[in-house]
Amino acid sequence: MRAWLVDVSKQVALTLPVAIAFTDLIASVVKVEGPSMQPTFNPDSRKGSDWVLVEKVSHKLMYKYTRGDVIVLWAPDNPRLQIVKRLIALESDLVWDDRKQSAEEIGAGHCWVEGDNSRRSCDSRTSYGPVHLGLLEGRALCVIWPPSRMGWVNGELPPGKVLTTSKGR
Amino acid sequence: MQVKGINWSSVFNAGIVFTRSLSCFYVLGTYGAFLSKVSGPSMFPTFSGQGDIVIVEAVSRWLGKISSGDVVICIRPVDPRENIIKRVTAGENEVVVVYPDRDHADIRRVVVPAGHVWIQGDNPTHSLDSRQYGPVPLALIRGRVLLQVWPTLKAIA
Repeated sequence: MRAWLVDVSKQVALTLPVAIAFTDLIASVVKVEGPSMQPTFNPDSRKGSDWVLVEKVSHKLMYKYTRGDVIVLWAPDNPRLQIVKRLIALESDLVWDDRKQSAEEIGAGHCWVEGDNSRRSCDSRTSYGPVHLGLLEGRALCVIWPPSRMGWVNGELPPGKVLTTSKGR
Repeated sequence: MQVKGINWSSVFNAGIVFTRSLSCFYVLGTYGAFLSKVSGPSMFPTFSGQGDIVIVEAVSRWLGKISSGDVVICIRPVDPRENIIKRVTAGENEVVVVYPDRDHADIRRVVVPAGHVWIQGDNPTHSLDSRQYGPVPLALIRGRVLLQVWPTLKAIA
């Protein structure tokens, strides 16, 4: 019995760091809450939340960012909260801010993020302004739960938002 | 004649050991402590900037215990691939008075927003910091510098 306990705890001690490194750097699954990404996620608020597979290699290991991707990032105003938004513009892009009704150029190391549900989203337009690329965690690839919602996440950039783009990164 | 093939099971075992070691290294550096080298003049005289080595703890960052006076390692706000070392001079909701520099003609009063800190180098004339790029989100901070171990051993406060 005791030998068995030692064996199990040894396996846990060897496996736990691998699991943590994997979910931090390779991929993880997150529950998306709130209406800010409707209709892409949680199209019907009464039916509960979507669970989404997030790929982290491109942001955290390769520093490669693509306009139009749905991304997971740390909330700029809260280091304990992760949020889901769509990546609209990258550094040196000229982006149209439809709240201010003006164009804004994105500074070095920053990006512009917006929720798909523009009326109920806290994002670059409403509160954050351009966001640091270092806050980005990964790209949402597909909805994996509930079964009725299973499917790929579209990575289309909404038209008319980015006025001029710099070279892609 | 004997042909020796690749012993796949030993390759597999070596792969497991490699993955486990790399993962332990990552977890220790992200949630425990790590060593870092300081280069550049922005933290003079606290650090010489000529290859000083410091011990950085990454625990306070997760507990939300970063406060004014701490020396921190932080993801560089203008390039996520690089790290910088600066001193936190104000926490969230504190007011910072910034004197004129080459980009700003007037004295500015900045309120540090929620979840952010104001960082500056100890050598203000040779430092690119919050005076240029504004307050920095706490989520960009990787750790708090505890000790300098090279060239001299001293506690950093």
